[in-house]
Formats: sequence, C-alpha cells, structure tokens
Amino acid sequence: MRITDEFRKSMNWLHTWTGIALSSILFAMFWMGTLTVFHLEINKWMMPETRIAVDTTMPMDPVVMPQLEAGTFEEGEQVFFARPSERMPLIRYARFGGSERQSHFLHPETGEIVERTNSHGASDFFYPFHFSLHISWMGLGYWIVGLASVAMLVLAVSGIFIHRKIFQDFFSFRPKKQARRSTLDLHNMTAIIALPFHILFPLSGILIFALVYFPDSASVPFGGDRAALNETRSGFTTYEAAGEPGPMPQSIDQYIDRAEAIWTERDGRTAHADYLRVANVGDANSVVTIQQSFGPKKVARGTDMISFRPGTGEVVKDFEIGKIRHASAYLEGAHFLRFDSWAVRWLFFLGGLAGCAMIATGLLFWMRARIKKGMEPTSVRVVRALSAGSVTGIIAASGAFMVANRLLTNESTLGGLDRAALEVAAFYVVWLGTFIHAGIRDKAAWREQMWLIAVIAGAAPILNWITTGGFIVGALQPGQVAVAMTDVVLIAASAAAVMGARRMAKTEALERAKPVRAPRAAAAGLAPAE
Amino acid sequence: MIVSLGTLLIAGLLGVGSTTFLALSQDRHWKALAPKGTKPRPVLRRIGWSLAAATLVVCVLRDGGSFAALIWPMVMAAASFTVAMGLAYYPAPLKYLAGKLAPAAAAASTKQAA
Repeated sequence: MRITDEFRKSMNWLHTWTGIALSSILFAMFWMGTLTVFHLEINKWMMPETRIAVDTTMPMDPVVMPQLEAGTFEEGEQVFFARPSERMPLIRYARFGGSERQSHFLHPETGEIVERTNSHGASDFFYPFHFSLHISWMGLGYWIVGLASVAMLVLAVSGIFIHRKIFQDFFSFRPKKQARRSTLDLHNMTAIIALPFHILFPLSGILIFALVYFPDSASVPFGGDRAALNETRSGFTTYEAAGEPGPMPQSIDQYIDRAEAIWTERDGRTAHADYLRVANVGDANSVVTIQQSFGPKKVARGTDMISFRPGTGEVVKDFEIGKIRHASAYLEGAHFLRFDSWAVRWLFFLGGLAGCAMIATGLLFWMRARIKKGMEPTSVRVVRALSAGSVTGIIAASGAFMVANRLLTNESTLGGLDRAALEVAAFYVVWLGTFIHAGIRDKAAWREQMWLIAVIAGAAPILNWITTGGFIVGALQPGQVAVAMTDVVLIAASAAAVMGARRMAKTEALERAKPVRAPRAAAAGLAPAE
Repeated sequence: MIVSLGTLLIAGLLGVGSTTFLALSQDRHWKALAPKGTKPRPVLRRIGWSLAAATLVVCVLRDGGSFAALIWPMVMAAASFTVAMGLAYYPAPLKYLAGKLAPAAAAASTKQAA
C-alpha cells in the first residue's frame, strides 16, 4: 500500500479526535494501571498489619485444619484459602455458597483473624478503577474501558502512519526549542520507544474481559451453557453435596505437595500453588482442589487445578488450560503481572509512566496548537480545566487517597462515612476540586496543581513515618521493603512535580515576554505531526 | 537478588551501549556531536544492532524466552530514553565518544588543525 498525503491526513484526523475524545479516560486507565503494578506494595503502605515477613512455603495445615475442623458448614458451602506471598503475607480465608459470604485475613503464624485497616487500599480502589472506572451501573465501566482500549490500539496504529520520521526522530528530544516542539518530541518519543507496551496492555486487557464483551458468542459451542463454557475454559467445577457424612481431609499440605510435584514435572519449572478450595467439608462428595492460577516462574496465567478426594486421596480431576488458550493466557498473564519478577514489574511501571506522559503531552500539544490557531477564550478555559483535572488532578487525588489513609483511624467517621469511604471521598473531593481550580486559575492551573502534587507526595512519607514509625532506612527489613520503596517513589514523585512546576513557570514567563503571534491560517482541527 | 540485579544491570548497560551507537549512526545526532565535516561510519549501526542482540541474549539467559520477550523491549525502551535525555541535557560523554569514533582521516585532519 502506498501512503499518500491524503491517507496520512485522514489518519491524522482520526488520531487527533480519537485521542482528544478519550484522553481523559485513557489517562485515568494508564495512571491507575500504573499504580496497580504495585497495588500489593501500596497495600502494605496503607495497611501496616500486612508489613510482615512470611515464608511462602510454610505449611498450611496449622492454619487450614483448625478452620475446617471448628467450622460448621452449610450444605453446598465452599471454603477458599489464598496462600501467603511475599507481596501479600496474610492468608485469605473465605466461605461462600452458603447463606452468608465470609471473608477474613488470617495471620500466617498464629492463624488468627487479623484486624484489618478499614481501607479499600490500592487493591480495591486503584486496581478496579483502571478496568471499571468504578462505574458499576449495568457494567458500563467495563464497556467504556473496552472502547478506550480499542481506541488505544487505533491511536497506536494511526500514530505510526502520521509520524513521518520514526527512525530519524527516535532519540530526538529538543527541550530548548519552543514548548510546542518539545512537547511533540516527548509525545512521539514516549509513544515510539514503549510501543510494544502501549499495544500489549490494551490488547491483553481486552482479552481478559473478552467474555464480558462477548458473553454469548463464546458459549455458542456449548449450546449457550455458560457454566459448561467456564468449566472447559477455566476448569471450575461445582461439586454437589451427597448429603451423607464423609471423611475430613487429614492434611492439606500433602495435596499441595502432590499437585506441585505434578506441575513441576510437567512444566519443567518450579510450581507454587496459590489457591486452595475445599468443597462440601465433611460430606461424602467432598473435594479438595489445589490451584495454581499464577505460577511464580511463568508468564502465562495458568489456572492449573488438581482436585483430590479426601480419605482415598484419588485424583478426581486434573485440569490445565487448552493449547490454543495458551497464547491469550500468555498475554493476559503479562498484564496481570502476578509472577515472581520484580524486574518486569519495575519496567512495566516505567512503561505505564511513559504511557501517562504520552497521553498528557499529546493533550498539551493539541491544546497549544488549537490555542495558537485561535480558540474562543471560554472554550480555552473549559479545555484547560478538563485537561488539567484529568492529568495533574487525578495524580493529586490519588495522593490524597493515600494521605487520607494515614490521617484517619479505623474509628474515624464523618457524616455517616466510615474510614474506607472517607478515603475514597478524599480522592473524589480533591479530584473534583482540581477541575474547579483549573477552571478558575486557567493558565496557571497545571503549574499550581504540580505544586499540589509535590506537597501531597512529599507529605505522604512523613505521615507514614509519624503513624507507623517506618521510614526508608528503618523500613529496609524483611517484609517492609515494599513500604520503603513506596516512600522513595513518593519522594521522587514530589521532586519530579517540583521540577515540572518550575519548568512550566519558565515556559509561562517566556510566553509572556514574547509578543503573541498571529494565528496561523492552517486548516482548523488538524494538529500536524511535524 | 545480587545475581538478578547484576544481570539486569548488564542488560541495561548493553542496551544503553546499543542505543548510543544507534543514535550516533544517525546523521542528525552525529552532526551535533562529531567533528565537523565527518560522516557516521556504517559500522556504528552494525555495532548498535549487535549490542541490541547481545542485550536480548542476556535477557534470555537471565529469565528464559517468555520473560525475555517482556523484559528486552522494555530494557531497550529505558535505554533509548536514557540516551535521548543524554543527547538533550548532557551530551559531553557522547561528544567524546563521537570524537573517538570519527573516521580516521577526518580525525587526523582535525588533530592537525588543532
């Protein structure tokens, strides 16, 4: 195919307007996704009771067996345990399928229920934000995110076509040229150098939610039976209770050892079971399932499952995902980032930041181009307010969420809201505030919100220090490294925000000094990617 | 921990080496850094790509193919960013390197001129 100017122009139009229409949502997804890379580490920061070291291969029997023996279980009730990991050292214990769902966290040493910090933490706030935007009405959030992910792929491809000098410009960043030029340089560079990342994440995100977007087409081969689809795809089987008493499992650890030995031999790499399930405790049709959803040494998300019959120990079911599903499991596993590789986690964190920079600079470039071409002052104000709130605003609000966590206690209430709700309220109040602030302060909004970020991100480690006594050096002990790293990143964010604010002040001063040039007579709406 | 940090560092350094040579092999950056009147030698590009391949080899040896497929592109991205920032804010070491790598004849003539 020959790339004509006409084609390039239409790609430019597509890139510009898709980008502008969805930039706020895309930025929110990239930003929250970037934080999600370290959601368990941020959890440790926000929930001091999880700052403990744990032996991840510890025997589970001392914790699991008392719960199974002491509990009275309803018919059909299922028991679930998540093994402790370095990143999440508490053991999750849940019961469902009965009249009441229960979920607790158990201490790995004592096996007792841990009183938790009443907070959503990063796992229940930042994490779902990036794939649902916390819009639960009719699953709308998933659909908006899905649309934005497809748009992101469109943006990546159209961006390649309009960017003429991909190779010549690969290393080009010219900060001393005019602000518009250097903004575009930064947009192009962060987009091109991390292009595999910018394609991998929206694509694998769509794959993860494929069944949400196309629930019926996938179940057609199963005659529309979604349970059958789920069983074939993910191996989940529901075991009905027989209604007659049966043997209790003598030990869970023996099943863990057997399952891990089978997987290790089959895959040729260390296996580590992460979830344990017991169906119909004490019933004749009781089944113990050992699961490896995310292997430590493999990228692909697995859902390896082996089910045993307590008493006889016979293998009831041995499930591994199908060959064809492996391709998507690899991409999905890369997105989930649950394997044991801090290198990938840090590199993807940087990739996420590059994505945020790409979206923010794209937005800034378009705004500067439009304002230069002449735009109504009211529109300028609205666009500026929306963009500042969407970029610097959401960053400041995320910081406020963490600061609120350190300022509040489990006993805090205000206006009927408990601690967890107040933390979320702090996020939304600050976020809304940044839009209003940007609407009032217009040109100065970005710079002033940078200062806000600097203050919030700088205050957070100090508050952590005061409330938990853990500060970088003191926190550099087993189980606390994540906390120290979070503090370091917060301080770095604060420093970066100060630098950003200063640079913006400089640019503003230069713009004030220069006489305003006449608007160019270029075609309105097109921001040519030079 | 030391091994996994060390090997990643090696991969990173090789990556920066790779992107340094690739940047120097481009006319625009060469012109900004090297002695006047010289042209980048074609061997620079070959060295750059060889180092990129070496980075990939280190990544594969470190974690195997399926992890290397994730790590290598991101190491190269981080290396590219480092070099781009180096070119923009701190070009002195790159200038020195370009002077050393300039075609022999031209380098000799600049020496004589000096």
